[in-house]
Amino acid sequence: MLFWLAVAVLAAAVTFAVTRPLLQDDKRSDETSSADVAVYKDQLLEIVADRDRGVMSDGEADAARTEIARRLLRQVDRAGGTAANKPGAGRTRGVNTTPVFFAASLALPLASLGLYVTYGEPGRPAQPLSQRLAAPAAGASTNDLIAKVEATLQKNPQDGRGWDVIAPVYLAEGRASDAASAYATAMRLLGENASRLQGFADARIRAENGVVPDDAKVALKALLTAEPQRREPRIWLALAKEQDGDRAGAAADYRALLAEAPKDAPWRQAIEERLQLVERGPVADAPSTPAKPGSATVDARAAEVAAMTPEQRDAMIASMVTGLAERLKSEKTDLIGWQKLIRAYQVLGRKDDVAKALTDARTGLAGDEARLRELEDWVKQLGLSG
Amino acid sequence: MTRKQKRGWMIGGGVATLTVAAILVLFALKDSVVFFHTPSDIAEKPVPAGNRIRLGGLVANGSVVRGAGTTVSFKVTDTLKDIPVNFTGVLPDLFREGQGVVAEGTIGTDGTFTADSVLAKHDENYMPPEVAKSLEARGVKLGGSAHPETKAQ
Amino acid sequence: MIIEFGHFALILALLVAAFQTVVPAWGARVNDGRLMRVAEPAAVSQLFLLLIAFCALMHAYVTSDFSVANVAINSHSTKPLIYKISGVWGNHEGSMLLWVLILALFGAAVAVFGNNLPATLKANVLAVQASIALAFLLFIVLTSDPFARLAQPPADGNGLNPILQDPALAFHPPFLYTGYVGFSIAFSFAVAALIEGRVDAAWARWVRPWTLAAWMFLTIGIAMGSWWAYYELGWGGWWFWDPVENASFMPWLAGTALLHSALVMEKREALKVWTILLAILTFSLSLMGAFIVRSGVLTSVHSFAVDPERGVFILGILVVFTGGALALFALRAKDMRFGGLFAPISREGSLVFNNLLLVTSTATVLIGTLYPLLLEATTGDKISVGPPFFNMTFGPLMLPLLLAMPFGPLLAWKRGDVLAAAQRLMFAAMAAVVVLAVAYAAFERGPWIAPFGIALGAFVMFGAVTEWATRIKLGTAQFDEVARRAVNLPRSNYGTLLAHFGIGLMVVGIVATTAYQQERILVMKPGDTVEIGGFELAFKGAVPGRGPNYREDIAQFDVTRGGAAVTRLEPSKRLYDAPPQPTTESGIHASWRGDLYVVIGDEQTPGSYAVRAYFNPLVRFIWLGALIMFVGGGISLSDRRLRVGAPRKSRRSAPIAAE
Repeated sequence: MLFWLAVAVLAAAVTFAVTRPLLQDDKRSDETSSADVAVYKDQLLEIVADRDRGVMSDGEADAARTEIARRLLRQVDRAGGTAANKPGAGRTRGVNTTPVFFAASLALPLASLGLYVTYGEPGRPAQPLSQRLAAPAAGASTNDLIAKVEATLQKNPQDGRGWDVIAPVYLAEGRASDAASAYATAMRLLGENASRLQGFADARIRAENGVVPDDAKVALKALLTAEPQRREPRIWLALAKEQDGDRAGAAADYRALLAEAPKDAPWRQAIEERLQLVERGPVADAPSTPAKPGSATVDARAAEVAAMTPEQRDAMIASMVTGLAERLKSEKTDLIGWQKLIRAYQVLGRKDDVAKALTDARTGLAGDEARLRELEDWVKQLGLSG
Repeated sequence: MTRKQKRGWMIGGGVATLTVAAILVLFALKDSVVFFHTPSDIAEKPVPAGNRIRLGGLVANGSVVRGAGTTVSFKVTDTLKDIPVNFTGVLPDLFREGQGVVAEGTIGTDGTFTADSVLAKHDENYMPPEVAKSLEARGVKLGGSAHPETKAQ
Repeated sequence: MIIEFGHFALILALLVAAFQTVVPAWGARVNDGRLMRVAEPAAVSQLFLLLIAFCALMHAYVTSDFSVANVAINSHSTKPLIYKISGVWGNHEGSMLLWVLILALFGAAVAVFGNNLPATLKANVLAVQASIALAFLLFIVLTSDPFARLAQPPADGNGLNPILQDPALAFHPPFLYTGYVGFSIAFSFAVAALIEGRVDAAWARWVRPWTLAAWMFLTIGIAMGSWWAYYELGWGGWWFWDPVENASFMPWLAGTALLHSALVMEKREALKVWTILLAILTFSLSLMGAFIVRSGVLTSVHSFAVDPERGVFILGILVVFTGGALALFALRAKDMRFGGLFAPISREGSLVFNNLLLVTSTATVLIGTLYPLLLEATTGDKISVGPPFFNMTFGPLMLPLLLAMPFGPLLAWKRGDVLAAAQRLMFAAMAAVVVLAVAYAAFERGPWIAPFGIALGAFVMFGAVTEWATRIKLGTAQFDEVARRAVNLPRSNYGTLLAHFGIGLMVVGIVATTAYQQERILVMKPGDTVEIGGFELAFKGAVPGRGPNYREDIAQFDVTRGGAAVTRLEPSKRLYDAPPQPTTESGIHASWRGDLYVVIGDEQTPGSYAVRAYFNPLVRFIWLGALIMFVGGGISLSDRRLRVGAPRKSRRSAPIAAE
């Protein structure tokens, strides 16, 4: 309400101010030429002053004065001429300004309001950061809450609990590297515990798009030492070995996991499959990958994936994609592989990678006209340009 | 002096100045214009060794090697072809692997580019427009990161 | 509420601008005083409304209101207050708002101070000015809304590009825009004069102060930008002939020409057609600058975020205003009366010479800036035109201009005596020869031509002083006569003296820095020393540091000269928190002799850094010269002949009576 009042007052005041002259008398004197005359008179005086100061010689001053006097005369002539030609030139020449006044008085406020309602968000309050931070937590958006915690941490970066609180939120928001550093800070300040170690490892792996980096490995190992009964760290560590090229080590780990896995464990089949892949080596894997929907493998994998936390799932997907991309580096002619990779990137929203993969695929298939055409058709279907 | 003479003087002076300027511009354009190429351009149509050019593209991942002193070598790639570059000096702040650069210098008979200046724009998301255009022309789609504003939403 | 109120004020300003475009122009056409008088309150209201909008945006920045998209994209809660404020114009939308605010400021100034203007001229000027504001306000409201809101305000903003977080750059845009936009007044006057079909000496007198004010601010704005580039970009250079720099330099060159031709027009009523044309071109070049900076058609280190749609809109504005004004010009120019006669050797002649060279050099800069665009459009070849082009074309054109500069003010109007002027300049020439000899002695290496360049700068400086000495009869009259004359000399003469002196100083600085810069690039480990420019630089090692919103590695260098400690330089490499971007901070030791300038590059092996050290002789003269020019402009402007409310009502004869 206050807002509309302020808007109304502003619109009214401005409209009044700019239209007021329309209702006044046209008291303008015929000074069009008097302004010029004033300038020339002033110039004449300056010349006198300049001569007196010795800035101008007498001769120069005289010449300049003659010239300005001539202009002055011309101006006076012209003024006389206009006055003679247009008697009462200063008066209105029949323009009725009242309609103009009313039109403008209506148009200015109405048009501005109309435009504003189209482009603005009427009455929406300002949301300065300090106010958002002070607002009660209930009903606040995640962003507000993050902002609140961040503001506290800004003031007091040694507050380990704050870092502990914000880290999983970052992870849920997809800000993996922020989450990783928050976990790291929390561990530095409060010491390691299972959930921080796990969170840190998850965040790091996510930040690296599924590759298990060294610091995550260290965390996973520490987690395992603390809670040896946990299995996820072992799965990740095995995957890390695989990524590092240690197939034998990875296979051994997978076997160990399978050996102690309960028969009905949802992840059992996933590990078995992983193990098969590792044992078969990368080359043999190529043709078998496009699994048919409904096949046992896919269902099992779906169950396995369903059992994972969203983060783990993402990380798993990312690691699979990375593996595929790696493999395609050596098997450049695998059309189906390329399609899968591009598809995956597209689903993940990694547009840069889509484009890059597409280019790589074209380069890779360059020698094979038929496949290249198939790729292009498929690209068109997908609606990818380029 | 009559008005006609005066105008003659002024026009003559103007024409003379413009002629001198035009000659200067032509000579300067001939000597100091530097063409911009991408690695693929050079692969398709080799540039004579010793010609001064600008080479634009991305710094290839994993290609930056520091040599003795301030010498650095890296590869500039447009993801299709790449060209090795040597540079002695201090690299700009935003020189990073995978980022856009423009190097100016000459290409040697061995196909190595010797740069005397390397530019990377002062914006983390920046890609020099020439580089972006050339890459897009070759089907390398640049995602949102080429346009700083899109990342805001 | 404040933000939405600001948004409404912005939109209301748009409508007021539309009103101010139409009604007064119509009034001037039918000669109706009431319609014309509307322009004044409209111009003032427009300023008031835009001020509200601007303050609302600034409020959003200062309070970190991330529900405003513009703030969320360009600010960050941890940013120091000064950069929150400067962040308002550190981005496209905000800077456009500043642009129209200044446009309105000039319009309102004409409305308030232009009491001596003929009513129709004033109405037309304000209408044209409002039409420019209207175009830009439409541009803002339709394509670049600074008040767009975000449904979900993010937790924190993206931050201002760290390279822009710098005091010189924080206040460089307002100055630069005041310059750019100030020329809009000259443009509006020119178009108004064409509409009325009446151009005379009085017109020039009304236009000159506005042009001078714009020129002053553009001068200092460009100088600040160059100074910033010098110490912030870490390349040791102060001018790169970058398209954006050129975009600000071209209006400056054309504006300088306009300043001088308007002088001829006021005093002699000559060069009328030419002056009108220059006024149109100068502002068109300003508009083109805006287009270049914002459309991204040219590569530059300073560009704003690129958006083709906006580029097209600004191009449209440029085409409409420049094209419209030029069409009007073509239609009306032939009706203009010829003005006073003058001989080629005369004050007017020298000013024509000045104009000729300035405009030609503007054209060469324009060609160098746009040629890559043209070539790409026609042949598809991508090229860059670098500093060598500009040095080869611009330099030679400046030479005769500088040489002739001291002569101009010494020549009489109408018909001058070049020999007499030369005689008066004997002292200046001799002093320049001495400088030449000193330059040869002081700088043992370097190109042979450089000392001549320095001597030329000195000649300009001494020439400016000579003119002053002649005017006050220094050396030929009694002391009290000289003192009396010095006191009574019009301030505009002092302005000329300072501006010309500043140019000379700048030339000396430019030549010395360009020709004698010393550069060392090497890898240094702690304990290493390097000798440059007479200084010994010892690297002590690097220590980590932490600023308000960045962390940095600070390299420490002890500087000694002949064994005596001079200073400690601490160049650093910073990494900002938001956005995470590295910057290089230079360490500079400034002295009259020149600047010692050190920046560090990457850490090569642990503890050792790539180091770039420069010695830039006399580089401070460049900005000092610009500052002197700015002050000179200010002093001139304070002369009541140039003051806006020119006709003095009372105390008319006071100064004369005092003599």
